[in-house]
Formats: sequence, C-alpha cells, structure tokens
Amino acid sequence: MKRLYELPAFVVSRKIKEQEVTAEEYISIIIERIKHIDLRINSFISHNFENAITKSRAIDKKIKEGTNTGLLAGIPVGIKDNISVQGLKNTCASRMLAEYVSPYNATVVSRIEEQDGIVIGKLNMDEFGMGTTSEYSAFGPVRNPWNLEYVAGGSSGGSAAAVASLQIPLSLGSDTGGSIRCPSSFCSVVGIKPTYGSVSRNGLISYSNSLEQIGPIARTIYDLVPLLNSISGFDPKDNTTINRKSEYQTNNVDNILKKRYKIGVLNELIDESESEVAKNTRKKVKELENYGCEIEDARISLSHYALASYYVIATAEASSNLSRYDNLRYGYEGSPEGYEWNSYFAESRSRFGDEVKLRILLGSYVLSAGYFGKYYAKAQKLRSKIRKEFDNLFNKCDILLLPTMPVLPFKIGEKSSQPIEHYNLDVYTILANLAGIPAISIPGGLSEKGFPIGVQLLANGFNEQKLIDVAVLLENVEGFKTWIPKI
Amino acid sequence: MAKGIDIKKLCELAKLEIPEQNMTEISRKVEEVLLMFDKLDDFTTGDSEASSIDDLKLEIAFENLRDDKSKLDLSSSDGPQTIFKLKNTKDGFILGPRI
Repeated sequence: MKRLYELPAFVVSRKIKEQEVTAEEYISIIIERIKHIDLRINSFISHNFENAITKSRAIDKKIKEGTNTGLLAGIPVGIKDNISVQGLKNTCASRMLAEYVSPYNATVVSRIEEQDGIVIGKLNMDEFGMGTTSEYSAFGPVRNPWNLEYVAGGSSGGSAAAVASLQIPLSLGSDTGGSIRCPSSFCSVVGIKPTYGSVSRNGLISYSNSLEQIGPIARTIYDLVPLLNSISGFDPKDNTTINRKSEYQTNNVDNILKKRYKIGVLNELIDESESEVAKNTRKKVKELENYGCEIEDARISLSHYALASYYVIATAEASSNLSRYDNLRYGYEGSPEGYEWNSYFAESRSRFGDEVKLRILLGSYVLSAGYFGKYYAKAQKLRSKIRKEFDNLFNKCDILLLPTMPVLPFKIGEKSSQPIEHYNLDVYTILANLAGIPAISIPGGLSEKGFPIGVQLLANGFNEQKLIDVAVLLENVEGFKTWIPKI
Repeated sequence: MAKGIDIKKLCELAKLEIPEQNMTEISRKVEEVLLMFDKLDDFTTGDSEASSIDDLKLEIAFENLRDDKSKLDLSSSDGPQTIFKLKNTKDGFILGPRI
C-alpha cells in the first residue's frame, strides 16, 4: 500500500475533504519527509512548518464544520524563493537578499491560500533565476534526486527536485528561458510555463519582465491542473495579465481524441539532441500516432538565432531590474555614511554571485549608447519574426513537439565555468519565452543509465488546454508510469 | 567586434566592483558571450518592427496598481517599521551615501 506522501495531491485532497485523513496528519508526514530527505537534495532554502501546521488545523476545522474548501484543500505547496510570501525570507538564492523578509504575498500565493493550499517553504534556485542547473545559488547547489552528483536543472531546481523526491506534491517555479521545464525534464516531473499574461507576476522578483512567467510543477498532469487553475487569471496588480476566463480540465481520452489534434514534430531539433533524448522523443511521437493523431514535420527556421536574441533581451532587462539592489531599500547591515554614491552602490553589489555579475555586465554593454541598435533593437526585431513564425506554424498544427533539453543531466560543476556551453542548453526552451506561448515538459522515460528525459509540447497563446489534453493522452498510454527516484 | 573591450570601463558603467584577480576571467567570459551575440549580424531584419512593446501596454495607471497607502512618517506606530525592519536608519530617516 502506498504511503500518504506517495499519493497524488488530488487523491490526498479528496481524502482530507472526506475526513479519511486530516490535513494536520498529512502536513506532519510531509514535514517529517522533508526533514529526512532534504539534507541530501538541498531543495529548500527556508521552511514554514509552524504556520503550515496552524493552517492545516484551520482547514480541518472548516471541513468538520461543513464549510466549503478550495481546490487545494490541505495540500502543501513549495514556493520558489523569488516569489514573495509574507513574513518569509525571500532571498532569490542571493547573498544580496539573504535577510530580506517579504512584507506582502505575491498574487499567486494569495490565490493558493484562497484555495486552501498550504505554503510549506521556499525553494532553492539559481541566483535571481539566472542559470540552467541550480548550481548558482548562495545556498549551495540543488542535487538531482536521481543521482546526487548530478545537477537538478534550473533555475527552479528546488521546485522540481522537491516534487520528484516525494517531499512535496506541488510547487511553483518561474520560467524565463526554460527554468520550469528544464528541471522538470532533469527530475522527471511535469512543469508548465503558461502563456505570457495568463498568470500574475505581482510579487515575483523580476529578472527579465518580458520573458518570465510563474508556473506549477507536479508529478502528474492531474495534479498540475488544479494548481494552474488556482493561480491563473487577471490580476489588477499586474498590468500585463489578460482579462480572460480560463478553467482547464483533464478531459477523458475519448473526448480528447474527438478533437483530432495535429502534431507538428520539430524533427531537425530532435535530430540535434543526444541520441537517447532523440530516441525517447520519437517514442512519444509514435504513441501519439498510435492514438490516431495526425503527425506532420515542422521547422522553425530562426531557431539558431534565437539564443542570441534571448540572451541579449534577458541580460538587458536583468541589468535594469537588478539596479534596484542598492542596499538602501533592501540589503544588509552596513552604514552608507561617508561613502560617495557610486562607490557605495558598486560595493553593495559585490554581493551578487559571479553569474549575476556577468549578466549585468552583458546587459550594460548591449544597452550602451553605441550598441543599442546592433544588439537590443535587433534582438527585439528577431523576436517579432520568431512570433510570426510560430503564428504560421500554429495555423497548420495544434501542438509542436520537441525535446525539452538537448542533453541528459550532467555532473555538478561540469559546465559551470563555460558560459556559452551553459547557455546553449536553453536552445529548445527559450523559443516559448520569446514568443510568449505556453509550453509544458512531461516525463519521457529514462535513459539506459537511469537519467530522466523530458518531452516538450508547445501550443499557441492561451491554448494551455491543448497541452493538457496531449499530456493526458501520453500519461494514459499503456505502460506509462510516474518514475520515482530511489533515495 | 567583441574583442578588446575595456572591462574596467564596463564595470564602471554597470556599477560593479570586480576584484582585480577576477578581471581576466570575467573579461574572457564577456567576450565569449558577445561573440555569440554577434550572430545577430547574420540576420537580416528587413522592415520588421519590434512588437514586444505590446506586451508592456499599460492598461492601468501605475498609481492604481497598489491598494495600500503611502506613509511618509517612518517613526509613526503604523509605519513600515512595524511590518519589516528597515536597515541603516537614523532619527527616523534612511541613511544614504553622498550624492
């Protein structure tokens, strides 16, 4: 018989609502699990155990009194440490914000609490979301639960590793260039980057505003959908959210098949990935073909320019966003009296990690007077072209399919000193951020040596339902299972 | 194009202090990434317009985005000090460097 922490969140929530188990019992089991497991994974930066117990008791009371409870009743949710939770430290995995306590809740956190979800703690990440491995954290690297010597992916590595290692059933990450999907792929969990403007960014500490989105991570699509429904929708505190009603469903297979989805396969990008990644991705294509989906070859001609465009825009926005860390409004003890402004500002910013400093330098360079047109303006034009190319592709097909990552997880430290090698890893995930479209990574099996492989699906803006439908199809293939690491 | 950039000048522009012993390494990395950025030179934009500004279209005035009210007196009992501890204050003011 499965232990409570192994069960899907939607099953446990039903048990809590039916009073088979109390929210307090469940939260206590989860807390013990985190204490037992996370010493090896390093997925949490801070905990919220006492508040979680108090909240669970309040939910149990509501249930006993017959009061309606929300979609996430009694379910613990881990929050990436760049998303504000009132009263908790919000470090962004940076020494710069090591002591910063958020005075307010991000909208997504308020919405989780409105649905009776329980914030259990803050999760480790690459500093300010800048990285693909979760090695660039002031609190040490997140370790991959499938092999502790390997990277968990990033930047939401803590969010994916905590879910994969059965510490928590659900988490929130943020995705600027693949930061939800990459660790989901490397840890064998499901992670979605929603359409730009469909989930509020109010309370997300900005790295690159025009690219990033908050999104959920879970072990199955059936667990992911209630969390996505909880956080989606217009927010008057975020000017970029769209006033559009969206409630996603996990439809049954027969109803999905009636929709006769056309799948565009990005064969060129599949061929360029590592052989085992390509092999498993093609297996997923075959599974969809067996369902009767129409399969077509698809191509993005500008994909090879996308990396330069993405990093120009991301570093430019980063250099602007991070200029607020002047140690006056946020920061650490240290009197500024007697200092001249520029030297104080520069010294304060020495607390940033090396990767963050590198990106600030790059952003300052591409925005400087002589180079704005050469880099930033051109990158934005390219971005527009990429969007148009996606528009054309989605006139012909409903879904695009490709690997999430071109490679398998690798050893901690293996690529950290080579920025280009590191940035090249993002080549399949940045496309969705540049175009603002939704993208999901779903588990695609294991390599011969037992490392997870993720398959990525893209859909046109606000077509998350199509991604969910195809994910449901793939999770219902005979023989599919949720792969769980042995720790 | 990216070769031979003045890294010290760039640090000054970016207001970052990089220790002298790290200058060579950071300089190498900046040049390497800028070479990758130069790939944009191969791309012909034609008449395409950047449309990303649409994403940032303002529908609500900034002053209406927050529902709290600004408070000027840091020493008052319901001022921000009661919500979170401010660093580097003196006589109810935030200390700053010379400008």
